[in-house]
Amino acid sequence: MKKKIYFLCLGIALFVGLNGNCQQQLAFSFGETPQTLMLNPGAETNFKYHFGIPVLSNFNLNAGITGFNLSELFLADNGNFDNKFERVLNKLTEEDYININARIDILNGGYRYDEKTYLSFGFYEEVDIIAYIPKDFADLWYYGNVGELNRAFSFSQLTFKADILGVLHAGISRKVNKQLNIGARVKIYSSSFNIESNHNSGTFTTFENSQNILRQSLNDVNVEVRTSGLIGNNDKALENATDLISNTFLGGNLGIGFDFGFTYHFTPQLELTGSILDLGFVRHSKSTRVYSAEGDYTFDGINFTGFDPTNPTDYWQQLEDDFDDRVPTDETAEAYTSWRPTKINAALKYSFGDIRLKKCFTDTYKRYYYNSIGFQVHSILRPKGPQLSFTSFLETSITEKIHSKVTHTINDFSALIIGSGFTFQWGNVNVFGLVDNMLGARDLISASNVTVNFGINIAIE
Amino acid sequence: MRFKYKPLILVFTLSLLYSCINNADFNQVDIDATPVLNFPLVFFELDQLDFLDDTSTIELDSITDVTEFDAFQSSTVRQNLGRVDLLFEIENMFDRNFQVEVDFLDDQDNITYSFQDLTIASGIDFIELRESVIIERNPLILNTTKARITVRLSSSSGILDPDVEQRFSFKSVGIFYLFF
Repeated sequence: MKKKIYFLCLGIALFVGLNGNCQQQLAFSFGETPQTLMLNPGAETNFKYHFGIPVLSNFNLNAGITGFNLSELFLADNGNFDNKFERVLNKLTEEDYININARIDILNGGYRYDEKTYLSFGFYEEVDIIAYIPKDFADLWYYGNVGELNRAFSFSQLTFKADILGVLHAGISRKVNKQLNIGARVKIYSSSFNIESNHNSGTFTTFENSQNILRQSLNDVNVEVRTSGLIGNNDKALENATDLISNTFLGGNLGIGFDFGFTYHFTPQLELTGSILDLGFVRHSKSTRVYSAEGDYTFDGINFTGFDPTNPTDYWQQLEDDFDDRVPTDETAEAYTSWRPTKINAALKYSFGDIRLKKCFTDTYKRYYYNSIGFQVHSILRPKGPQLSFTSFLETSITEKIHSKVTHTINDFSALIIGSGFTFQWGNVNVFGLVDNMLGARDLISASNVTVNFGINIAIE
Repeated sequence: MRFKYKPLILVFTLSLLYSCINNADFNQVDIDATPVLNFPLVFFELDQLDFLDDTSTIELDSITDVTEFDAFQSSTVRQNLGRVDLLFEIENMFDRNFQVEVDFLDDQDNITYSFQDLTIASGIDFIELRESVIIERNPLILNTTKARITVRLSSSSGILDPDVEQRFSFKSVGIFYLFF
């Protein structure tokens, strides 16, 4: 059994480690706060019950950009903005992206069912945006296609996804034995807005040709943009922006997802935790629009073949008809499925130093070490593949009630992201706060990413 | 064992209090994108039969063709076009000179812009000509909905022999300078 779990954990760690690039979830495995359960439903808890302060129980904001930072554009240095923009544009590649994720708990609570089982539930709102830089078309917009003979401007770079949704969830964390704690959470998604486009293909190319001076071609174009929540049933655009909020309360397009997690103690001092979150999808069937274009087209210009003023040829109409035949476009209200960005977390933690005893919900005492070190990996599945971050951390308890964490993270954004966090227990009030990229926080426009996470909960132990 | 790094944490925490957006000026956003886009326009190839009537006994001194041309009706083009160039490549393997007239017309066939007549001497296997139109000086061009091309054959003492193959080819590209 131990071996199986060990290899399972190793497998998860390797999967996370081998796949790509990303953002971080600093709070993962940072114990003694009820919100840990949201990052690992298999986290251990010592609460009899908890409830979050509405709206304040958990707020998380993560914003990041790759390829440049805002100071390169917006530094007040009296520099020419066009020159700055050009420098940034020339640096960017189609792998660069902008990512914003904000999450706010509306309701969060938990209840100990029995000695081994803790139940939790709640509702949160989430906004998630990722947009990859369509480098080719950004160049086409800024510079044009003159001087770009034979360059294939690729539609595959058109990749983005934005969501606004509410999530109703309920989870269970259960102690299997002294070493293992497992958990799961079911989520009902209510999406009020989605727009996404990915897996596009095709190119636009201009090249020299003997028929005319230039030939332009669209090759194997297959582009689709899907959206829901923007167009009402009366075919009118959404007029009331508050509908975007109200529809997240189970009034939007619904979906289902699951979280799974575990905590495993190899020894009292060595702990492995892991979780997979948002393994699910949303089925968009209300207020949907799917726009598509597909085909091939070669354009040499208008070939004058008539030269007959008494019987003129309508070349332009022929051109339009031919284009519509070869590259048909479509707009439908068909339903579609949007997969949630699944996240995978894993952490290995070694605790050491002085021991403190903490009375648990029963009359037993649990041993805690004052210090721990370890590493954690976080991966999120994005449209162009997983994004990964690797974090090493040091945790220490400043007092029995105040615990802190200092981290160093390497990810797409930077190789030097220093973060810190704390949890503070004052009576039954649990407060936590984490900030990633402390160095960047001093000068936000020079930072490539910033993560802020804080919350206030009432936890009865 | 207790770590003595708490002062470090204090420094980190205090540094948050000083978090700010230093020296940023978000009002400076003023991107002047100036894309230059080229598109193939009209092309054609003529031979000696195109300048003879159906009986091949009467020579036509000119032939004309016209097409709708809606590029200037796009709101993006109308609002942002600063200049348009037409680039021509012409090959004249006739033993006669040619004159080519390129005119832009509006809906009522009024000329909105007339390009300088292109005179092509006989036996020219390649000539490249380019003409620029500054929109500010020629705003009528934005009313263009049609393009007309007239090809004039220079006169000669005899008429073209229908059995002697001769060739005239015309190619063109439009180069649009946009200012956003």
